Amino acid sequence: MRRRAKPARDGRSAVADALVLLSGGFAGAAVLSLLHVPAGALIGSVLGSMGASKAAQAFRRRRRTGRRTAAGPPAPAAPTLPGPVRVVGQVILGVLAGERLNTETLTTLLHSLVPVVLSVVLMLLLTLALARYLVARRGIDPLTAVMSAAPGGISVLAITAQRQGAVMHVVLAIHLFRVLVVVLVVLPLVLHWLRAQ
Amino acid sequence: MTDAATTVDLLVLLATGALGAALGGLARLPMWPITGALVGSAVGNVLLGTSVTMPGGLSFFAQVLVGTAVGASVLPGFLGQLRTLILPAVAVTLTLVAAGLSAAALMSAFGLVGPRESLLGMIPGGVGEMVAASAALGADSALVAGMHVIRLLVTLWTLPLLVRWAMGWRPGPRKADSADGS
Repeated sequence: MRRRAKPARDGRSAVADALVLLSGGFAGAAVLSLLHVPAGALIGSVLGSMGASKAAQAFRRRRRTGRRTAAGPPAPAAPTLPGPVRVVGQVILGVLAGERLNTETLTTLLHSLVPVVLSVVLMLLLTLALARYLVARRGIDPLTAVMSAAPGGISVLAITAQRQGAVMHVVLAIHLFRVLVVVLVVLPLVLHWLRAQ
Repeated sequence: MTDAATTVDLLVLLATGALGAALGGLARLPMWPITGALVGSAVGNVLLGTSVTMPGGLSFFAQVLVGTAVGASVLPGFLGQLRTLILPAVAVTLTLVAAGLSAAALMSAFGLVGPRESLLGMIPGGVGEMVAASAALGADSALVAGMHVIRLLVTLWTLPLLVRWAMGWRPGPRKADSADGS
C-alpha cells in the first residue's frame, strides 16, 4: 500500500504545483492586461508565477517549522511546472504564427536573410569577446564561457552545454538572467517606444 | 461561415500545428514546438484552404503558459548564484541586447523589416517570449519567429567552431563561482 501511495501523492503534488504556478501566472496576466500594460499577459504571467512560487515556498516553510530537526528545518522545495505546459504554449504560438504566414512574410524574411545572418555573425564575434573576458577576468573555463555568452535559446544551449561538460549552473544563471532582463525590462521599454512612434 | 465550420477549421489548424510540432521534434528542429507548429499550421492552412480568425483568448492563453514557465524557472538558488555572477551576466546581457537593438534599428532604417518585427526579431530574448510579445502587439509573429530561427541555426552551427577556438585560452584568476560547479 505504501509503495502505491507515494507516487499518487507525488502526482497530486505535481498537479498542485502546476495549479499554484498557473493561478499566479493567470492572475498576474489578468491584472496587467486590465491595466493595459503592453504585452501584459506575458510580463504579468512571469511576475505572477514568480510571486506564486515565492508564496508557496513561504507557506511550505511555515508548515515545516514544526518538523525542525537538529540540523534545522529541511529547505522547502520550489513548486515546479511540468515541461509540457511550456510546450503547449509554444505550439499554440506556432499555430498563431503559421496561420498568419503568407507570401509577403516569406518574401520579407528572404530579403532580410543576409542582414539577419550578418547581425548574428556580429553577435557571435561579440560572444567571443565576452567569452574572452569571462575566461581572462572572471576565471571561468573557456567552454562554459562560450556557452554562457552565446546568443542561443536556453533549452537548446543547455542540452549542448551539458553534453560537452560545461558548468551548468553558470550557463543557466546567465541565460535566465538575460531572458528575465529582456522580458521584464527591455521589452516594456521597447513597447513603450513603439507605442510612442 | 457558420460557427461550427469556424470551430472545425480552428481545430484543423491546431491539429496540423500539433502534428507539425511532433514531426519537428522528431527531426530535431531548433525550437521545434514553435517552428514545427508554424510550418504544420501553415501547410494545413494552404492545403485545406481554411480562413479562420484566431480567437484572441488563444493568444492570451499561450502567452500565459510561456510566461508562467519563465517565472517558474526562477528557482530558490537563482539569486544566490546570480550574486556571484552578476558582472558577467550584466556584461553578456547588455552587449547582446545592444547588438540586437542596433541591428534592428539598422534593418528598420533601411526599410527591410518593420520596426516592431525588427526589434522583436533581433533582441536575443527567448524565442517563445518574443513571439508571444509579437502576438500580443499584432506584429507579424511568423516573421519574428523566422528571424529567431535564423539566429538559433547560425548560433548552433557556429558554436563548435567558437568552442574549439576558445579552448586554447588559459583561464585567469577565479573570481566567479564557476570552476568546480559547486
